[in-house]
Formats: sequence, C-alpha cells, structure tokens
Amino acid sequence: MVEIGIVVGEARPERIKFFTKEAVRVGEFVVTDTVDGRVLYLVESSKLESKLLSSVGDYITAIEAKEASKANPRDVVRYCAARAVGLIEGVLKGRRVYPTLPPEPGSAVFLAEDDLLRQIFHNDSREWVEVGRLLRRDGVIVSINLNKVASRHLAILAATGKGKSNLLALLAKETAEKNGTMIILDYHAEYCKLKIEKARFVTPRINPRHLDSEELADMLDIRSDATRQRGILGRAYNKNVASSPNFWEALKKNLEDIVENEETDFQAKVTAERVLEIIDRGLAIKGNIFNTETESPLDIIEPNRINVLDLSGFTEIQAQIIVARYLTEILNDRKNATLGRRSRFKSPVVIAVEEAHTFIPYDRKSKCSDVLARIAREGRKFGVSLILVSQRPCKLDADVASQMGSFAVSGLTHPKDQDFVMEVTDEVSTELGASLPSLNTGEMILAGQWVTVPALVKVDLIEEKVIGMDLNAIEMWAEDVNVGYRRISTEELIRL
Amino acid sequence: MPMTLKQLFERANLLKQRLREEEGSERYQAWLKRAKNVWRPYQPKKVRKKIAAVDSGWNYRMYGGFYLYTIRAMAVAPSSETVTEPVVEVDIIPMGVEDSGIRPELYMQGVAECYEHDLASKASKFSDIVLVDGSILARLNAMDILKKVRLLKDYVVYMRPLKNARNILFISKYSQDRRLIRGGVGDVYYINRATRDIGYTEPIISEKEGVMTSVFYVRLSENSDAMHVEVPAIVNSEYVKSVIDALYGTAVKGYPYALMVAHEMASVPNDLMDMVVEAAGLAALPTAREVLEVG
Repeated sequence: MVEIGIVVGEARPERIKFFTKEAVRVGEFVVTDTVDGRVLYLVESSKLESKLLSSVGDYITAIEAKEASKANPRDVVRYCAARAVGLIEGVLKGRRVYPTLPPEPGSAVFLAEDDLLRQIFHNDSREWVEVGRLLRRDGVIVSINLNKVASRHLAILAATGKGKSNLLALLAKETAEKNGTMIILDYHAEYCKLKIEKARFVTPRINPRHLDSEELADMLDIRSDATRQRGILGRAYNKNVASSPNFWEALKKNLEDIVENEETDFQAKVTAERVLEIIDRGLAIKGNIFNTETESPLDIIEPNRINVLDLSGFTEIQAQIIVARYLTEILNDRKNATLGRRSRFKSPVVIAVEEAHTFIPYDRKSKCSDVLARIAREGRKFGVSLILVSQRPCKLDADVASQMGSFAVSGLTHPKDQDFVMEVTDEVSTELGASLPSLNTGEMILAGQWVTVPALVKVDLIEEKVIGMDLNAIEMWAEDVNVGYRRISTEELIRL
Repeated sequence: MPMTLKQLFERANLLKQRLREEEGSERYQAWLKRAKNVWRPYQPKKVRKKIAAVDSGWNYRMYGGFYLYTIRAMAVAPSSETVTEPVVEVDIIPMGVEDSGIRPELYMQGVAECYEHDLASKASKFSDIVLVDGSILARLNAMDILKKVRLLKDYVVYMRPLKNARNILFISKYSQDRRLIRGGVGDVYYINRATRDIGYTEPIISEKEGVMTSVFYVRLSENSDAMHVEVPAIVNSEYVKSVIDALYGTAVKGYPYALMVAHEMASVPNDLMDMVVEAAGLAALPTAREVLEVG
C-alpha cells in the first residue's frame, strides 16, 4: 500500500485528520491501523492552504507571497478529514464495525488498494446490481442491493440535471430484469420515452364513485375558493348518484333538479347551472380519466412490469388525489397478499414518486400525505417501498424522508437542502455535504442500506433513457422549418 | 461613560491635534524634504544568493518562587530548512536576576541574543547573506545592563565574531533611529512618507563598543515600508545595492521572507509552553496568573 499521509490533531474512533504530501481528493478511500485492526476511511474533506497566501491583503503582496511560497515546501499544507467506514475485516463480510479506539497520532495513512475496494463494492450475488464506478477509482465497480430498495425505501435527492432520472431509469431497468414491479408516478412526463422492454405507459383512471364530493370537485377543476359551487355539487352528489348505473347522468339530473326547482333561490340556480357547465367541460377535456365501471384503479397496472403513470395532465391537487387512490389500493392489495387473500400483486411493489415534494410537502398535508407516510412507516412489512425523487429535499416532509433507508445525493447547492440531507441521514456529514455542489452530472453520494459502505459514485449512463434531458431547441426549430416551409420543386411552382 | 475613559479619549484627541499641527509645521516639511533628498531610487536585478535568517523566541511562566523559561533560536533558509543546529533551552531563571532589578524578559532576551549571534556567525560561513531580526547598535547600547546578571561576559564572547562580518545584516522595521534625518521621530517615519519606490539611503557609520556599524535604509518593493539595516562592518552603496538585488526576489510586502520563516519557526507560543510545562512536570503548580484569577 502507498503511504500518503500521517494522522494529526485529535483523532477519534470514527474520525481522523491527516496531513498529506500530495493532494487527496474527497471521496477517496484510505486505510490506517488501530488496536482493533485495519480501518477503512472515506475522505470527506480535503484542504490545501498556503499559510503565507492566506494572510495577504492585496494583489501585489499576493504575487510576492506566491514567489516566496514556491521556495518553502512547508508553506503549503494539505489537510484531509476522513470518516471511519468500519474495520476492514467486518466490511469485507458486509458488516460495519467501528473501531473502539482511534489510531495513534502519527499513524501512517495509506491509500486503499483497488483490489480491496473491488471486494467491498462489487457483489455478484442475485440481489446486487451494478450501478456505476467509484468516482475516484474508475476500475472499481459499485453494486447496490436491490432488495434493500424494494424493502427499506430510497431517496434520490439531487439538483436538476445531476442525474436523478438517469438513476431512477437505471433502477427501473434493473428491476425489470429481475421481473420486479415498479410504478413510476411521472409528474412531468419525463419517462414517457423510457425504452425498457417491460415498461408500460398508462394514463391513470379513477372511478368518481370512489371520491367524496370535495375530491370530485377537485377532479373537476372547481376552484377551492368556489364554496357555493362546491356546496351545490355536495348537495347533488348523494348516495343514489354514487350507486347509480349511470353516474354522470344521475349527478347532472340532480343538478338540473336544483335549477328547475321553483323553491330554489336565484343564486343557487345560477351556481348549479355553472357546475353543470363545469362537469360537461371536465368530461370533454379529461373524461378519459374517469371510469365509472372500474372496480379498482389497479386494473391498469401490471404486476412484474415498469408502470409509468403519466400525471402530467393534472393539476397538483388532482395528481395528489390520484396518487392517494392508487397508493391506498396498492397498500391494501399488498396487505391482502401478505395475509394470503386474493390480490393483484403477489410480490413486492416499488413506487417511485417523482417531484416528491409536490406530494409530501413539509409545510402542509397534501391529499396523499397520509398514505405516503403510512407506506414509509409500514410498507416494509407488506412489500411496498418508496423511491422519493426530489430536487428540493428541504421541502419534503421530514418524517417521511427520515424513514428512507438509502440515499443517493448530488449537486444540492442550497444550504437548507444540504442541512435537510444531513438531518435525515447521519451518513452524509457536514464535510461531505459541503462537496455536494461540486459534484458533476451522474456523480452521486450513495449511502445507507443499499450500499456496503457510503461512497461517491459515478453512476452509469443508461442508454435506454431518453428522459430528463434538456430539449434541443435549435434542432427542433430546424425541424420546424422543414415541416412548415416544405421545399417546393420547380415543377410544383410551374403548376402553381 | 466612566470618568477615566472620558479623560482617556480627551487625551487621545489632544494628541491627534498635536500631531496634525506638527504635520503642518515647517520643520516637519524640512524633515520630509531631507528624507526625499537622502533617498536613492534603485531598479533592482534579481540575483540568486544563499540567504539565511536568524531569530529567537522565548516564553516563560511565573510560579511561586521561580520562573520557568523556554528559548528557541534558529538559523533557517527560506525553504524552512535549518542552516545550522538550532538551539533550545528550558530552565529556571537564575535566582539573582530579580534581585538585580532586571525583569525576567530582559534576561531571556540577553540569553536569546547570545544564541542569535552565535547562530548568525556560524550561518555566515554557509550563506551569502545572514539576516538577524533586530538592531546590533541597540544591543550594544543595552549591554551594560547585563553586567548585573553576569551575562555580559558571554554576551561579548558571542558578539565578537560579528565584528567586520560583512554578510550579517541586522534588520528592523520599526526602528526609532534618528541619526539620519534628525527629526521628531525615527528616520523610517519620514522616509516612508516622503518616498514610495524601491531604493536605499547611503550607509552612515556608527561606532559602539569598538564595533564599526554601517547603517542604511532599504525598501525592497514599491509602496512597502522601508527597513532599517545595520551591518557590523564598513560598507558602501554598491554593497547596499547588492543586498537589495539579493533580497528583492523573495521579499513579501517589502520584508525578507526568510525572516518571516525564522520568526515562525523560533517562536514559543503559549500552547507550546503549556506542553513544556507538562513535560517539566509543573502542570500541577498554580502559576502567578492563576493565583491572580482566584484572588
């Protein structure tokens, strides 16, 4: 092993600081000896400082200090902080055992060898799948435990363009290859071109009979402050309507009765007429999402497939209602399966929630907050797991996020987002969190139960993914030219 | 505001007025003019020379009945490498020092200067230029005091080899030497106000205790403060130019970098002193400061 540094300052069992002769990058793995045995450490911060240049206050002095610093090798200090990943002996067996004592100050720090890292990060067994390579070691393949994703939940928290959708697509592909079931709640129609063999693209269907009058009002786009319209709809939407063979006719009939009733005051008549218009408009525009015959929304979701549920056509509230309906049904179905009753999904279901902050906001209860919280808490028992995907983690409900067993984090620049990540997982420290903004696309910190040890990973770019990319406006405009102004031949011109 | 503070700021204000008046005076302008006249602008050439710098540091702790002190002295190159074997001393200040009316600081300074002179003389054999932080003339002037603590003999022994050492330079940034301009305050004050370019003053010769010393001022980079330089030998302006050429390339804010390194490496900060105290087995004894804090 190559000796690269020396332990200095206050060492603790879980954390060391060391000086190095050459620069050592954040994300690198180093090794040092303790009385308990050899320990693997992850470098979480790397500082390079010229004492001389740190004290200058103007440009000219800086130029002079630069020259003087060149002459003094002691002036430049390379300083790293690293966190204990665990005793190597344990890590190689998949167990994280921390040393009970820190290394002696002055202990040599070695660069971990590629072979050792390969043994730790690469796993061929069935439940593990390859997702990329160690960021600082191109030759070390990193595997993740898909079983943990399907049981202990995962949060993919990264800034826009850092590879969230690529990672989700990669997990979808791997899940498909394992014959698993995944439902992607696709709020921005990002996954509509996902080229995975078992991918299915479905538009959600909802039976209005299963909604209460407020939910029905939301689905029909009646404004939340239109209390009169909502009141009239509530009056019209009674048990008879819900059980009527022709739901919409029955509902409209009740509204027409209100209009025609001589005892109805003028204002109520006008309001009922308006609600009738709204229903007609709603059915004309979004009628295909309502299915008054369907027993369960799950009928359109196929087990052992990647089901992409396109929510892009809905308002936030509508999408929340749909998600609440689907997730409640899925959880109930899986409960039935666990209890040996009739069920649609015989095996675990992974639910990926894109734009998760829209569905579980931190500052209020959404229409689907409860069911998402329930799945986060109890889903493991019934084989329902969540993959929360968000670029604004600080806007997520912390209680739900803290139930996530695994994390993929990248590119978060806002301090509140960084703090949130550190709050919900103790595997991303302040030092490591500080490196988040400097990560490039596809470079992520993978931490938690799905990896043997936390690591900075360059996630593989999935070829099947044609999603999440910025639109090529120039190319598309150029295509428009060809479409709109078709080149006319001389012959055609003569004919004109 | 307490009365004393009010008086304090009134006095400071009065001083400000006095200084303003002085700056407007004719004699002040004459001093500035003289500083300008003696200044010789110079365009330096970078010349690589082997440079060493000497400095010392000391610290002490007061205990009931004795003082524990630590001295470090070093001769270093700008690369932080030591040029000669460094000197360290940890001891108790001799009992007679306080009785002679000499403060412990002065005693340690005397001992540290002996080491500095010894190191400078040794380093001068391996280096083109040896820089020492301080003033040899000031040291020679203060020598008599050391008689009281029986340090004079040693002091003279270490001072002797410096005589006529052309490559040992004593450097001070905050000199109060008034021999050149003969103004109200030190020469360097007027030089810094009257000139801003790289340059020097012609050496003037002073004699003290049989040591002929050339005194001059140099500025190593534009807009930085000039330094007071003493060489315990007779030198001319060509020599001064060669000194600027040698130091100009590695000066930071007009100060030789080697001296900065020597200062940092020789200093005895409080945390290092704490460790020395522990190593000497004295950590359990209350220091005079602690007694004051309790009282």
